[in-house]
Amino acid sequence: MYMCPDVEILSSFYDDELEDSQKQIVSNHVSSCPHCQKKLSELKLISESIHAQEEPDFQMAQVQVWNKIMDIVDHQEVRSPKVNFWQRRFQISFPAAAALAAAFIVVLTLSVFSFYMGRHTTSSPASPELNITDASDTLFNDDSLFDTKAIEFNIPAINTFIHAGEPLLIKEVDFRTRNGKN
Amino acid sequence: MRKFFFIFCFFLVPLLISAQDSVDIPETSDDNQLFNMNIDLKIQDGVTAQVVSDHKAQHLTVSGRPVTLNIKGGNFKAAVRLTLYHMQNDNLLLLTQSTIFFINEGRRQMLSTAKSIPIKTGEKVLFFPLGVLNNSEKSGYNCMLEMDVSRYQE
Repeated sequence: MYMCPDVEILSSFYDDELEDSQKQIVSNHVSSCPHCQKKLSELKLISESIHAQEEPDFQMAQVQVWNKIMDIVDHQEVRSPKVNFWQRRFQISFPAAAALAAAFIVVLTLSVFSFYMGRHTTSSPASPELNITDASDTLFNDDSLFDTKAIEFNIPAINTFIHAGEPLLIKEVDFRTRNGKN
Repeated sequence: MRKFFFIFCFFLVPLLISAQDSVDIPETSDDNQLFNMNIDLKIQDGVTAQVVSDHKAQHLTVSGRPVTLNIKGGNFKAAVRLTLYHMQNDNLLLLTQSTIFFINEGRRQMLSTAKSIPIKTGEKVLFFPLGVLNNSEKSGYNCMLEMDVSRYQE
């Protein structure tokens, strides 16, 4: 008994794609097999329904798609909301951000350094006196530190001057009043 | 956070820097008014207040130009700069800058100070570069500069 060919072979037979020898065998079988005849008629119906539909207009479809895209773009441009300054995102290029970060680090380092240096300098006695050790003799005898065009006052060598404290600048009236109180 | 940092940098930091310069310094007169500065250096006994030495000097100057004095004593040397700034009318500002080298009982000291006082023409001002002896001091001398300023008149 000859078995029924499968659907692919029947479809090829219907489309006239089989070789002559195979076509003869299938044709002989279909003529005597109601099952295959029914299958062939179904294939025929499918083929006819496909050919009955209109071929889609791809160019028109393409134009429609483009129109839709342009509509969306226009719509978004019009409706783009104004972003608040505080909500706006700023973009900084990497070199600029790196330069800013480097500057910040340098300033921070200098600030910390100067702060600690300041603490060390202020930790010295608050007295305005500055003690000179080895260089004092040289400084004391070095007249080049004094202005040669200055008015010279040479006091008799009385070696009993006492450094009584900080220099005092005062109006004569105030000084007399102060001494009167004392 | 980044925005606040930028605002701090661009607005607050310049504001803080400018605030440091906003000290209200009165402008000095730019006229060429001559002033006559009378200087009298007196060495005064600290106990009896008797003047044992008196040195007078007179110097013409203009606003902003310093008058320099060199005082040389037995155990000290002092360089004193007196600068007048004419403010308005008879109002002046007297700035004294002194650098003193001092030897006392083998101890060497250098003292540098700057002091200023607003004065009027004709008003007497005293400057004690070594400070003023207390009444309790039993010996010693006061070094006193007595100054007054007047307008120069031909």
